[in-house]
Amino acid sequence: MIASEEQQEYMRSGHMACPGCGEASTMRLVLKVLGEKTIVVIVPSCVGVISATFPNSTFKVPCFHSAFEIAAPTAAGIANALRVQGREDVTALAFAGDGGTFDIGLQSLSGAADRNDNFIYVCLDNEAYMNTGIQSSSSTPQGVWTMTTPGGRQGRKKKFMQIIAAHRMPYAATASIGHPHDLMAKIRKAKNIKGTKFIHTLTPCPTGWRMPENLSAKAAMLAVETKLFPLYEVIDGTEYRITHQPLGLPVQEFTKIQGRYRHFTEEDTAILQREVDDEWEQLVAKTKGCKL
Amino acid sequence: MKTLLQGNYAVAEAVRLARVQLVAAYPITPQTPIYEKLSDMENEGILPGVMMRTESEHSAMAACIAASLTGVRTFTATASQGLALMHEMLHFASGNRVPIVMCNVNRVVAVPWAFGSDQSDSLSQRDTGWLQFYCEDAQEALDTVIQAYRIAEQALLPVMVAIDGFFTSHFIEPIEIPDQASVDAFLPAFSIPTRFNEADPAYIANVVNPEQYMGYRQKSFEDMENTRPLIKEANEEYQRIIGRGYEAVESVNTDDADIVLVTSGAMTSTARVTIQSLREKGVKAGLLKMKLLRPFPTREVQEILKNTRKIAVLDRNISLGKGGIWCQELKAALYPLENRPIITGYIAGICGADVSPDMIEDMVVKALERERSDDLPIWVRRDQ
Amino acid sequence: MNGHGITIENIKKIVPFSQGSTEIFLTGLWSSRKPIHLDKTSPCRQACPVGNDISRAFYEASMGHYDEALRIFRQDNPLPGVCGRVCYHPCESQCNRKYYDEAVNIRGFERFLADNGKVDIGRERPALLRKEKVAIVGSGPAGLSAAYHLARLGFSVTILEALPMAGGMLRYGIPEYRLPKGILDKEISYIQELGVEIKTGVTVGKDLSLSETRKDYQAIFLAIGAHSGMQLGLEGEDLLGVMDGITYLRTINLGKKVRLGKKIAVIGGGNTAIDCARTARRLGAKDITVIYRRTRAEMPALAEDVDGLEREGIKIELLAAPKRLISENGKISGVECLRMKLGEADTTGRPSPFPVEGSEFIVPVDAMIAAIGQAPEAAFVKELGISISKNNVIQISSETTATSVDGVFAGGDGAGTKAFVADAIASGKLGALAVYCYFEGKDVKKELKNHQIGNQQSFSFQHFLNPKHYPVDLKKVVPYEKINTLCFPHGVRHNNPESVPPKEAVKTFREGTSGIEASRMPFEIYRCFKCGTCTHCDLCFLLCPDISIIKGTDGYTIKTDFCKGCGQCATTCPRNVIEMVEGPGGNT
Ligand SMILES: Cc1cc2nc3c(=O)[nH]c(=O)nc-3n(C[C@H](O)[C@H](O)[C@H](O)COP(=O)(O)OP(=O)(O)OC[C@H]3O[C@@H](n4cnc5c(N)ncnc54)[C@H](O)[C@@H]3O)c2cc1C
Ligand SMILES: Cc1ncc(C[n+]2csc(CCOP(=O)(O)OP(=O)(O)O)c2C)c(N)n1
Ligand code: SF4
Ligand code: SF4
Ligand SMILES: [Mg+2]
Repeated sequence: MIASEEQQEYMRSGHMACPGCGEASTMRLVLKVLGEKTIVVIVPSCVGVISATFPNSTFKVPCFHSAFEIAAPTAAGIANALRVQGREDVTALAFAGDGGTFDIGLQSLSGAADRNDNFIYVCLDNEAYMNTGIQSSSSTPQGVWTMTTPGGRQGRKKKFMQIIAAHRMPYAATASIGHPHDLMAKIRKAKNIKGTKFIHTLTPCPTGWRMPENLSAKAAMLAVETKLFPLYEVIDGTEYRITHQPLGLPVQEFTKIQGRYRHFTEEDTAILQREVDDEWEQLVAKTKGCKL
Repeated sequence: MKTLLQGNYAVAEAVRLARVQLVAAYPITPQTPIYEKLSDMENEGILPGVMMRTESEHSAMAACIAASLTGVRTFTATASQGLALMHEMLHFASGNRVPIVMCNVNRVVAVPWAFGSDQSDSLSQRDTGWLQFYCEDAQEALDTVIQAYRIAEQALLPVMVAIDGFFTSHFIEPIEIPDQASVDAFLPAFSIPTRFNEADPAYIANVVNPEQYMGYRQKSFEDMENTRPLIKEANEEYQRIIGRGYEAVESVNTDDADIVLVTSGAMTSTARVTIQSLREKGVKAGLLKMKLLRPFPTREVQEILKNTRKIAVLDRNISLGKGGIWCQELKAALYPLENRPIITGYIAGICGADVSPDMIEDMVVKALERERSDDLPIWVRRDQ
Repeated sequence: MNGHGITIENIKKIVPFSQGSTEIFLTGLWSSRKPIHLDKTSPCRQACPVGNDISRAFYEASMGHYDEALRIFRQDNPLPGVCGRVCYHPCESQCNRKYYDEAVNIRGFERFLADNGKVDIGRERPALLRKEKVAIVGSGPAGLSAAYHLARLGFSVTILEALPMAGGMLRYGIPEYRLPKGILDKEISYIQELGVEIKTGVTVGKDLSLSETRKDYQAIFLAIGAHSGMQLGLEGEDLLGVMDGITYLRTINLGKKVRLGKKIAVIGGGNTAIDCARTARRLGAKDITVIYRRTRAEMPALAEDVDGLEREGIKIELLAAPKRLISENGKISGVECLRMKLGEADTTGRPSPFPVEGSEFIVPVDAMIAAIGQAPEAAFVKELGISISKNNVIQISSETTATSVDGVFAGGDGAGTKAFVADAIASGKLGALAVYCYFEGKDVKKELKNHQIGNQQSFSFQHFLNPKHYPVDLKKVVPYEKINTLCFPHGVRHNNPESVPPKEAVKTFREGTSGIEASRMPFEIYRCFKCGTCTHCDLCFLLCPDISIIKGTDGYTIKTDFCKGCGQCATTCPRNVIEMVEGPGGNT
C-alpha cells in the first residue's frame, strides 16, 4: 500500500525521457517516498535529459546537476552541510547511472560509503552509457551488443552489490521498477536509516536494450522473475534477506524480448542460465543464518 | 603576541578563526600538515565545523561545492597532483558561483616526481575562474585566508590562496594570530542563502543554450572584474581592524628605479634583501611583488611601471613553449604603455631550487644591461 | 541574505536557476496511441450461466470485504449457497488460471461467501414498487430466480408451488448430503424477505387453472421443472422393485420410507443416478451397481460426485446397458445387460454407444432404479394454447423465454433449458427481464444485448440495473495471453475438504464436504487473477514514467496531454484492464 503522503508527485510530466523510460519511473517512485524534504543530486546521464533544461525543472524539489563522477561526494557534502545547519530532516539523495556508479563514480562512492555520510544513493542501472548513445560500461552484461561492443561485450557485468556489501553500509538493496511496492518499501526503509544507503535499481531502457517501449517494466519484472536480478537487501554488509521470491523463469524469457541479445545462441543462453543459477545459489547461501 | 608556527599551521588557524563550517581534505605533501592540524582542532573540539576525510582531492572539492551550495562556509587545501586532479571541479566551483576558499601549497607537478615549491600547479589553473592570491610568508597566508572569505562571499566566486611548498608551508615563523573578536568584526558570519530550499525549490546548474551559456560566462567575467574594489576594501578593512595589510601589488623603491624586479611568493623575501643591497651598491633597483594573479591587477601594474625602463621577472614556474607565466602576464599588461619597458624573464627556483641573493643580484644586473626584450626566458640554475 | 547583503534573488541571476514547470511541454503529442482504462469481463463470468461477476467478487474479498463480495454474487444469483455446493462450475473450466497451474476454486469461494457473508436484503429492495402482479409456477431455481429478480424490479410476485415446500429439485431431488436443506431454506427466506409470496400445495392446472391464474396476474412465468422420470422402454418396468430415480429421491426427500433391499442396480450416469445410488447406500443397501452405457468421461454427473460414489464402495459398470429385466414372483431379480462400444460422436458431441452382439451378462438385483432422465408434466399449459413438444417441454424462444402466448413466459427444466441449477437460475433471470420488457414495451433482445456478458446468453443484472456503477466492457473477455502472469506466484488450489470420511459417509446424510477454511480462503482469493477487474493495485499508476495516470479516490484517470503512449501500463497491467488504442484514450 502507498502511504497517503506518497500520493504526492515530486516529478512533473512533460520531461524528455524516451517513451517507456525505466529511469524516469524509478526516479518518480523514489521521490514519491522521500517527499518534499529532499535534495536531489543528479549527474550526467539520461537523468540530465529527463530533468529538463533551463529555465524548467522536472522536479518539484531542489535539485543540483553535479559532475559525472561525484554523485556520492556531492550528496555527502550536502548531507554534512545540512547537519551543520541542523536541517537533518532533509534527505540528500543521489541519482547516478551505471556508468556514473560502476565506473567513473566508483571511487568517490566508495569514499563516501566509507565515511558513512548520511545520504541515499540510487543507482539507475540501464546497463550501458545511454546518454552518450549506448556504449558499454562495466555493468553491461557479457555478450551484449552496444555501440562500442558491436560483437558483444567481452567482460562480465560487475557484481556491484558485492562491492557495496564490502563497505558494510548500514543499508543496501536491489530494487526494480517492475516491483514498485518493494522498491518503495526499500526507499522508505533507507529514509529512516542514518548513514550511507545504496539502492541498486535496474532501469530498463527501451532505446538501449533495443526493445519496444511498452516492455521496459515487463523486462524489469522478467529480470527479477528469472533470478537474473534478484530483489534483496543487505544490512551492514552482512545480513542478507531476499525480499521477493522469484518465479524462476528461464533467462531467455528476459533475453528474447531484447535486441541487444539478438545474436545469442542457445549455447550462450545456456551459459547465462548456469551463471544465473549459480549466483542465485550463492545469494541464497548468504541469507542462511541471517537474523532477518 | 606572536606564536611560532609553520605556515601550514598558520593557515589552519585562519580556517578556525574564519569559523569554517565544513572542511574536506585529502593528504598531499607539502599540504598535509594543514589537514592534520585541522583534524587536531576537530579532535580538540575547537574547529567549529565538520571534517570530511575524502578519498581524493576531487571529491574534497566536490563536497565543498555541494556544501557551499547548501549554504555553509567551506575550506580545502591541496597541492600539485591534488590540484591537478581537482581541475574539473575548479571550473565547476566557479561556474556554480560558490565562495569556497582553498589553500594551495605550491609544489611541482610530476613527472619527474619531486616535491619542491613550484607555482606551475596553481598557475596552470589560472583560467578556471578562481581568484588567486600568492603569499610571501606564513603571516600573509593567515591574513589572506581570512580576507579571502570576505571577498569570496561578496563576489560569489572561489578564492585560491597559494603559498610556497616548504619555504612557507614548513618554515617556522613568529606569527601574530588575531583574536576571534577582531576576525568576527572583519568577517561576517556565513549566511549565504541556501540554494536548496524546499519552500522555493529550484533545479540548479541544468543545461542551458549557447546564448544563455555565454550570458552566464559574461556575468561571471564581470563579477570577477568587480572584485577589484572588494579586494582593496577587504584589505583596508583588515588593516583597520587587525592592523596588517597587503596590496594586490606591492612596490618597493620603484619610483626612481632603473630596473624593477618582479617577484611573487616566498622568493620576494630574498628579493627584498637583494634590492636593498643593490641600492647600497648604487644600482637603482626597485621591487614589485605580485600577490594577485586573478583578477590580474593590470591598472596597478601599469601605473607603477609606466616609467620604468627595464624589468626583470622571476618565475618559479614554466609554461612550456612560452616561458614564465608571470612574465607573460606582465608583458600583456604593459603592452598598452606608450613606452614599453625592456623585459627579461628568468626561470629560477623551480622545484624549490635555491635562489640566493647573489643569484638575484646577478639577474638584475644582467637585465639592466639588456637593450631589448627577449621572447624566451633565461634559465637560472646553480648547477650550470 | 548574507552579511554582504546577498539574497537568493541575486543568486538566481548569476547561475542557471530553474523553477519553471516542464508541464509546458505536451509530450502527449509524441504519440497518437493512448491507453484506455476500463474493466473487462473474465472468462469465468462469461462461462457462468448466471453471469456472476466473479472477478469483482474476488477483488472485494481480497480486501476482506466478504459481505460485499457476496452481494456481488447476489446481484445475479439468489442462490449462491446452493450453487456454491452443487453447481457444475463451468466457470472453473474456463478459468484463466488453469493455464498457469490450476483453476481457482470458484464454487468453493461462492459457498464460502454464502456461508459466511452477511446479507442485507434491505439494500436490494426496489426504490419503487410496481402495480403489476406476476405469477410464477414452480419454486425450483428457475422460479425462485425469476421471483427474486422481478421483486428487485418492484413487481408483486407470487410463486405457486405444488409440493409442500419450495425449492423444486433442490429440495426434492438433490439429497441432503450434497445440499443441506437449511442452506436452501435460508436462501429462500431472503427471497421472501424481498416480498415474494410463496403459496405451496397449489398445483396449477389442478387446484387452480392456468387461465384463472392468467386473469389474476398480468404475467406468468412457468418454471415447472421436469418431474416425471423417463422409462427405459423395457418390458417389466412395472415389476415390484423397479422405480424411477426422481420418484425415489422425491419420496425420500418427502420423509417417506422406501424399502428396496440389499442389491440394487441404478441405470444412468447423471446426477440423479449417482444421487440415487448414494442415497440407497446411506439407507442400507450394501451392493449397488451403477450401470452406464458410455465411459466415465461421458458421465453427465459431476466428477467429484462420481468419485464420492466410488469411495463409498459403489460399483460402476461402464459401457453396459440393460437389455431385459429378469423377474421372480413378480419381483425383479436381475438385469440382463449388454456390453457397449463407443462409436461416432452424436449431436451432443458425445460418442454414441452401440451394443456388442452376444455380450449379454446378468446383474442380480433386489431392486432397480432407472435414472435416465426426466420430463416435464406440462399438459396443463395447453389450456392457454401454449405449445409443448412431444416430450412435454414448453416451447419458448431461448432468447426471450416467451411462450407462444402473450404474457406467459417459461424457463428451466420445464422449458428445456440445460438441466442444471445454474442454467435454471439464468433462465429465471432472463424471464424476469422478459417480463419487465413486456410491461415496459421494450425489446428483450436489445436489452439482453446491452447487458450481455461476452458472447454467451447470460447478462449482467447488476449492469442492467445500473450500468454506471461498475464501468465495464461486458463484451471484452480477457484471454489468458493478456494476463501478466509475472505478477502472480504459483500456488496450489484449495479444494473443499471432505467433512465425513467415506466409512462414516455411508451412514449419514450429513453434508459430505465442508467449506474452505477461513484461514485458507485468502490464499485462494489471492490465486484468482481477477481478470479484467481493476484491483487498484497501482501498478499502472506507479510505473508510468510520464505521471500520466492519476490516482483518484474512485480509480485512475489518464492524463493524455503528457502520455507518450509507451503502453507500459497496458503491457504490465496484471489483468488486462488497460489497453492501448489509436485515438484519445481515457477511461471509456
Ligand atoms: C437428483 C438430481 C440431482 C441434481 N443435481 C444437480 C447438480 O448437482 N447440479 C446441477 O446444476 N443440477 C442438478 N440437477 C438438476 C437441477 O436440479 C435442475 O436442472 C433444476 O432444479 C431445474 O430447475 P427448475 O426450476 O427448472 O425446476 P425444478 O427444480 O424441478 O422445480 C420445478 C418446481 O415446479 C413445481 N411444479 C411443477 N409443476 C407445477 C404446477 N403445475 N403447479 C405448481 N408447481 C409446479 C415442482 O413441484 C417444482 O417444485 C439435479 C437434478 C436432480 C433430479
Ligand atoms: C567526466 C565525464 N566524462 C564523460 C562524460 C560524458 N557522459 C555524460 S553522460 C555519460 C553516460 C552516462 O551513462 P550512465 O551513467 O550509465 O547513465 P545513463 O545515461 O545510462 O542514464 C557520459 C559518458 C561526462 N559528462 N563527464
Ligand atoms: S535512452 Fe534509455 S535511459 Fe535514456 S531516456 Fe531513453 S529510455 Fe531512458
Ligand atoms: S505508461 Fe504512462 S506514458 Fe506510457 S502509455 Fe501508459 S499512461 Fe501513457
Ligand atoms: Mg547507464
